[in-house]
Amino acid sequence: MKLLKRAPLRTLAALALFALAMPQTALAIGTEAGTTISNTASVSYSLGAVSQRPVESSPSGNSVAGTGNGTATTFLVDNKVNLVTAELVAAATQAGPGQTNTVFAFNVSNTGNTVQDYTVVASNFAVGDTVNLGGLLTDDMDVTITAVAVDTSGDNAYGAGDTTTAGNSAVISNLSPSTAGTDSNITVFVLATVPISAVDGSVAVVGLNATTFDAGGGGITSSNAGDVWDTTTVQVVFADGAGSDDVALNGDYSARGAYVAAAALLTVTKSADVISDPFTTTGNPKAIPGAVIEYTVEINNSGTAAADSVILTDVLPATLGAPVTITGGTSSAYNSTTNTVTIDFGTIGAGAATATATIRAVIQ
Amino acid sequence: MKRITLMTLCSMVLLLSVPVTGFAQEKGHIELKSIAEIELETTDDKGERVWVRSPAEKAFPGDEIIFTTTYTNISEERADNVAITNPIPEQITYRADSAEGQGAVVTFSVDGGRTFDKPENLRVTGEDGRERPARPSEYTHIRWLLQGALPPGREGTVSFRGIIK
Repeated sequence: MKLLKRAPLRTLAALALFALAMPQTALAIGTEAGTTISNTASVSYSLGAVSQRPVESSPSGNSVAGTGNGTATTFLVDNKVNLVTAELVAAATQAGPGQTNTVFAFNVSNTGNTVQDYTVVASNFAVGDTVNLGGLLTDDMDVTITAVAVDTSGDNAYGAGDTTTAGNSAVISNLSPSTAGTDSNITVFVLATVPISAVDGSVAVVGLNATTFDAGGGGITSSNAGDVWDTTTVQVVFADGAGSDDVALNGDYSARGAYVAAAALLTVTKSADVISDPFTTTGNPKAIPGAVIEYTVEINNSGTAAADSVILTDVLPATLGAPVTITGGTSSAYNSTTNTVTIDFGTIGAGAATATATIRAVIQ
Repeated sequence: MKRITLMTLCSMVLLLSVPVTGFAQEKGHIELKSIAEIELETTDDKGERVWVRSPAEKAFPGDEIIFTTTYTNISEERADNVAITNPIPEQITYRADSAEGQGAVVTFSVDGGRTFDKPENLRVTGEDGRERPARPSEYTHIRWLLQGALPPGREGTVSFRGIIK
């Protein structure tokens, strides 16, 4: 081994020249692992004025004159394993309570220089775990992960054309490296069921960890740092960074995502008022037999999801007669056998929307 | 017929057994040795950062490789007009100003080794069809022309650096 200090760059001009010399396109295409890089130098010379046959180089030294008598000095480009897992969009997936096959999308990129397989495993995080998706979200519910799908259709949207594997893991096969200049990343969908008990704004943090495998599925291990460079074999080095839940240089990369429950949150308020009685013509009527009572029912949705098919059921007291008038809702009905009023409100929108109905009946 | 076949076979074996060190093995006057290395940054016993040149790392895109060619005059005669030519491997981008060689004039080629010149004189035709100065990344060959004769027994090195594409 020769010890030497790196020679400083001679002039600023040389530096400037170097900066100009770096072509933008050269970094986009890289050399794939397993590529042999060969180099042969040759020397021409003369003895006096007589030109001699050139001599080519060899790794150990060649002096046999003539083209083709040298041996190329070669080495193989090694396998730099590098990958990144990230959320496809930095936003939580909104899902209603009880919703199945709700999708959070991750993206796995092969940033190394070899075609690789990856096993991706999805997980549900514990209460208190956090993720930052345009704002900090703290886990306070659990989703059930039902399947993991690989975006084989390549449209970044989950659909029938994608390869779906039940359970919490899937395999990405033959993902090209970024150095090949082709598509080097693929989207992975985590499919989950939100619990029916989820309340509006509940957060479930989920994660996806990708582990590198040889193309074809074989396990892959990094060469030890102590291994000397072997110019004749493709050696493996893990060059990946630390993801959300894995350490650097382990061939894994993880990221977190989240589901946020978008539920309707209905508040029902009912008040009663006396509209008239048969004896008080001016002033304040009282609740005496023959008086008309008006019930006002207010339904307020303060949740983040619209409530559909909202039906109010109100059993009137037996001491009241059949309703005189019913207002509000899209339709209403009265069942005299059960003394029940039903009012169909249809959809009540999200964000403090209010629907009101009134029922008037006479005290018997 | 059988005999002829056998004869043919024999001559084939004979042909194959002609040693590669046959008549073509005329020994030249200069021995040329070429190696490829990688530099590693490390700290020496004095705590100073030094670069250790050794084949002890892996080779990846973006890594810098040092190609060193050692020339030795192994004859009893003086060699004149010694010129060492090294084509830059196609997966390697030449690093500007990295070609070194004591007592040698370094020139480059941008036309596959047909012509050589100093960097300031090298021109290529750009994508717009107009001539412009060549970039070091466009060099295809490097030539070191030794100034003065190479006496018997004298050894020297020339080198350059390149980045794996």
